[in-house]
Amino acid sequence: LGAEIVVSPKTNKAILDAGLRSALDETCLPVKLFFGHVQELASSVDYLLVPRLISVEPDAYICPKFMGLPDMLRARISGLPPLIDVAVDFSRAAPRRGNARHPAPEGNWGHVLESVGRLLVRDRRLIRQACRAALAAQAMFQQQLERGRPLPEALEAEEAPPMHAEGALGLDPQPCWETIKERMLDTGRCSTRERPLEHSPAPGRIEIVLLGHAYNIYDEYISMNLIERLRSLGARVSTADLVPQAVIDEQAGTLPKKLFWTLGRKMIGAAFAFWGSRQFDGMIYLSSFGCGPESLVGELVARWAKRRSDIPFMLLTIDEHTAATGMVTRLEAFTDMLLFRNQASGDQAPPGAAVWGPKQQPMEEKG
Amino acid sequence: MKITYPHMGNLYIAVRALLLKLGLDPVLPPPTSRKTVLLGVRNAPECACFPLKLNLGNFLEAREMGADTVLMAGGIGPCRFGYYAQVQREILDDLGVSMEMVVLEPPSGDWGAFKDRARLLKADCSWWQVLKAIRFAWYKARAVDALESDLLYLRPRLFEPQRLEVVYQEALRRVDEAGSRRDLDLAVVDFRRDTGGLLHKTGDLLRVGLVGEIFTVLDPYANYSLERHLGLLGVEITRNIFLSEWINEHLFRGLLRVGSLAHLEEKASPYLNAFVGGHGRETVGATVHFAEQGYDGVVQVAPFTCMPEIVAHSVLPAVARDHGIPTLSFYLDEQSGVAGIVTRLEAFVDLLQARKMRCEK
Repeated sequence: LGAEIVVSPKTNKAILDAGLRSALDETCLPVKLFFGHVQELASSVDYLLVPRLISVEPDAYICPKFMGLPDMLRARISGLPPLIDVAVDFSRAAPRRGNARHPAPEGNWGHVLESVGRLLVRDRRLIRQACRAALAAQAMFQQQLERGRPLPEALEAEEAPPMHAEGALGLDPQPCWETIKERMLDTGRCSTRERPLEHSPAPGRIEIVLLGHAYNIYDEYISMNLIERLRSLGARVSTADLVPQAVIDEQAGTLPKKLFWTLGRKMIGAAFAFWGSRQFDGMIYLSSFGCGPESLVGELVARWAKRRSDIPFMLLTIDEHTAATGMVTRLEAFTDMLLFRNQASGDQAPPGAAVWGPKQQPMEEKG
Repeated sequence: MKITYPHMGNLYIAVRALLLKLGLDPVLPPPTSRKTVLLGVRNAPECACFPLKLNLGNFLEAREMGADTVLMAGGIGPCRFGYYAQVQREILDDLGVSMEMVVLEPPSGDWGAFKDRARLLKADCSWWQVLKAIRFAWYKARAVDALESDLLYLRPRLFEPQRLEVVYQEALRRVDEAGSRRDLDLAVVDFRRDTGGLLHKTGDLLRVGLVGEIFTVLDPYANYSLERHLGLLGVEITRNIFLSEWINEHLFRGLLRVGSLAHLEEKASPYLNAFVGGHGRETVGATVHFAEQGYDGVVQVAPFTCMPEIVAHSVLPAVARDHGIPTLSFYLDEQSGVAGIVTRLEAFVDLLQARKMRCEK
């Protein structure tokens, strides 16, 4: 539509500090970061797009803090450019909330995008074209994720990768959902049948499922480069983005009560799906301190994982005080444990491999 | 079926009346104590909000007394309360405690499921008896609210607040034991007569509005008797929400038109323009409302990590700036200490007093 787009840089110390200064102490780390990014942009743009993400599917919300984000920004940061706080509310079955100033839009992205477009240009045809392009780009992105391309690259990719794309860093191809699905033997959270994980990766290589909200696990600064660290420890990392929405819906549908947080459903659905597939060695759940939904969803996943003896599980909580060393120590301990476990169960240790030095192997492979 | 339910301030009175009228056998957990907190904290998720931990402690204590069924309220989000029962059930399962959970979800379209749950509770009663039981419990809730609002009014005004506490506890006991509406009315009338005979102070009092998350507002254990401390400091408190309003809104979906909170939602604009779950928007609206009514200050209470109240708290400085009303926010959990809370309250009251004197000059 001819607008110039300014995106805030990757999170850095200055952004985090600005966020910590302006946001309320009690908010969670992602919200503080958001405040920091907003301040980074505030002086250089004419309008700031801060959609009010209320709900992106019926009967489920994102989180109260997302719902109040534009209001929190306006109250706490002075000298903001005008906010485009278009409301995204698809919770049709839920009672309509919204008032004259922010009427609840009709329940699809097209309407939301159009109402933003109308602020910029008057030509409706142009807006509609732009909307179509936007939705197509989003669909492409989603496809990239499900085919196993990790997030940073998936954002830049122009066209759909082949089904078995080469993974990041020239390592093994990332597992994609199509291959995982073939292995899905049963569904549901507390299957009575406990079988050892069937996946037997190459010696010294482990599969880790990393769960957590996208804004935590993909932010290299606050997650302290978690994904990269895991890779350097010889792990292949899968995230919930690999799991198609339909599978998540199906798996999360087995809950006794529908979970009313979209991101929480995604985490639980993905956890069930991966448990069903048994294609991993260990599961890490990254949550941020003070996150409301996570405090319950993470707890549920951890409890269900603990009830079965076959799922190594670790819950990591991050906040602005987390030190990288502590995180690295825990990750190393976890991956070491998984490696020993594999060696013990599969007895696949190459002859002569030192039991106490498993980390050398992944390092060599990476190099 | 021995059925138990969590404490929330004086909610137990209304719920016990309801269950007794339905011919059930309620087991009231002992009043929330340090032991309840320890039991809850040991078994609940670390970052869950305070009410979940207290509830869990209540259940475990009731279990020791022989309860086998838990009655809980539900919700449809985005506040965490709606998923409490699910998490608590898993925790109890893991503890090897077999307790049935009956969750009263606000009726939302699925009348079949609602009826099933109701049928479980109503046992042999006819629907007419159920209706009568609900009505009676409702009157009890209203009677408790009447006592509580009188208490808030009287506490800073009496020379002998300790005496008031005794009369209040006696009145609560009578309401709890009342078997008919006549007994209920008498209990309230007698309370008003007895307190009317006590010696009153005269003069202008500081008036402070109490806003925030419902559980911490209503439960004296969860808010470390904040209302009493403020009252003894000579402050008259007005709550923005009472028990019966919560029941009406949460379980009857606002069918009864008493003290609706809808007007507060409008007042919250332009500071908070969207529903944020829980009572976040009402907190902001009530603060504006109290400011317009000429109150001297507003105290907000919430459990630690409470999402809706954090959003509300975030915008409160803007309200305070525009309307010139001082606000003070408390986040409460098992780590809070009475001394710290009282110190902050005393400082707040001192500031309000100084501000008021300066304004009057």
